[in-house]
Amino acid sequence: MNLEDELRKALLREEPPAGFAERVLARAAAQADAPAHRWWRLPRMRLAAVAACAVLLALAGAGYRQWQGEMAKQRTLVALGIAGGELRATQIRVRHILAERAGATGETGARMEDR
Amino acid sequence: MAEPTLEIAAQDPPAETPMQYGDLVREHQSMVYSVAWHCLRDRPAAEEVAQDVFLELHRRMGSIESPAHARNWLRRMAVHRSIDEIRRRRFRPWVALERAPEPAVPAVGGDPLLEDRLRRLVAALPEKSRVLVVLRFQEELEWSEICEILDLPLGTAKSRLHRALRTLREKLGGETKL
Amino acid sequence: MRRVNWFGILVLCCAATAAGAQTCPFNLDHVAAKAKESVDITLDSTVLQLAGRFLSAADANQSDAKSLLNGLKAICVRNYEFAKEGEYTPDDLQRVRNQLRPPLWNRIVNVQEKNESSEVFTRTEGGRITGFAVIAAEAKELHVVYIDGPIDLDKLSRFGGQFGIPPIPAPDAARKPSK
Repeated sequence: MNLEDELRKALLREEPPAGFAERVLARAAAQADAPAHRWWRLPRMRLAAVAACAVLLALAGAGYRQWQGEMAKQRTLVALGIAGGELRATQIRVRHILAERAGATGETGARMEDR
Repeated sequence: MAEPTLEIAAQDPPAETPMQYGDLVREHQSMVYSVAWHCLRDRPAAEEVAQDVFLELHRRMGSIESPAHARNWLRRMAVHRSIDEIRRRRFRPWVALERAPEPAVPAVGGDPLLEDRLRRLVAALPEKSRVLVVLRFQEELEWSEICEILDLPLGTAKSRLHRALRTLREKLGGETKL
Repeated sequence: MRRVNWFGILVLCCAATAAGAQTCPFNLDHVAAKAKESVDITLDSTVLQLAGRFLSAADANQSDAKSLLNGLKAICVRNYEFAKEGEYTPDDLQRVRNQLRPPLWNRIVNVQEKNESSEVFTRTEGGRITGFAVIAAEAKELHVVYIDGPIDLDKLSRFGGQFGIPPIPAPDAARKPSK
């Protein structure tokens, strides 16, 4: 008995549960049509920001340089997230307007984002 | 109500997407799901990971350059998301597979039992060894591909697989030989 | 009573590394003074380089952020929410647009709806995008983003949504294994 051959047999690919592809496509369609809300304004995100601040202050015990670096990292990630969110919100608005004008409801995830 | 005005400056037309998203889902669902399933041994969790991977693909369709790129991207994402899920589960009250009782019927003879036992033993390996075994024996990838996905040097990947196979042999009780 | 400005607290916590006035080409302090909620982030090249060193290549989102930061000189974010309409004026918006004019800058998207507008600007040099800005205005909100430096807009748009906020690590995950 050869272990590697047995492993190949044991680890053969399996089909996902029935309807998997349909569920994915439905979620993708919902994702594409989600309203462009500004997540960083939601109360839980503010709490997350305060919690992040608390974590960072705790890290102050690990050294000021470390703290500075972590602060810079957190602020940068938040700033990039907001910048990307604004860009994406505009892309979605443009797509909706174009789709309304074309009289189409939009294909399920098959089209690229408008640049 | 006034119609919204919209000006878009003339840009190069977007490159035609060579692939349809739905086709990619149908073509690769088995691969993505199986990576997650063999790593997690939890079907609902495996489906959730697999769905997340495809939803991420949907968000990134604009940057997928070819069918081969899509396949490699999906494989890499399935591996990394499975590893993330394995790590997350460490912090949840969950019976680790290695502590779960072995099946009552000893795995002697019948192939299906051996295969099932092997799957459980693989799922009990440390996460990086686990995905390594899955990539090598489920996906039958070349070493260069495995090293690229796991970001490991070749020597480390090979020795890790060697140790994993030794562990599997020990747990199988010396029933198998290379 | 003025609501607690949570993001303002976050900004104050970061005051030690605040960037100089030249980083951001426009000044909206007079608008910020009237906001009930505000997000004010200014990152110069020094802070961005420091952040880049602390971003982990092993994490997909941080790795994307790291590659986005390559060559960036500044990021400015100004998000304001007001208690009532009319707290900022068309002149305030024009003051920002004045910093984003041809020939260097082009407005590539301009969406004007009932009470909302969105404008996207890019600066292009040598065929590459080297600057990006958004002005998004609603009746009680104003959002301005400015990025100075080479930027991949596709990659940036993937930071839209919750991926931008880093997860707060669980207490156990924060402890490193003692090996």
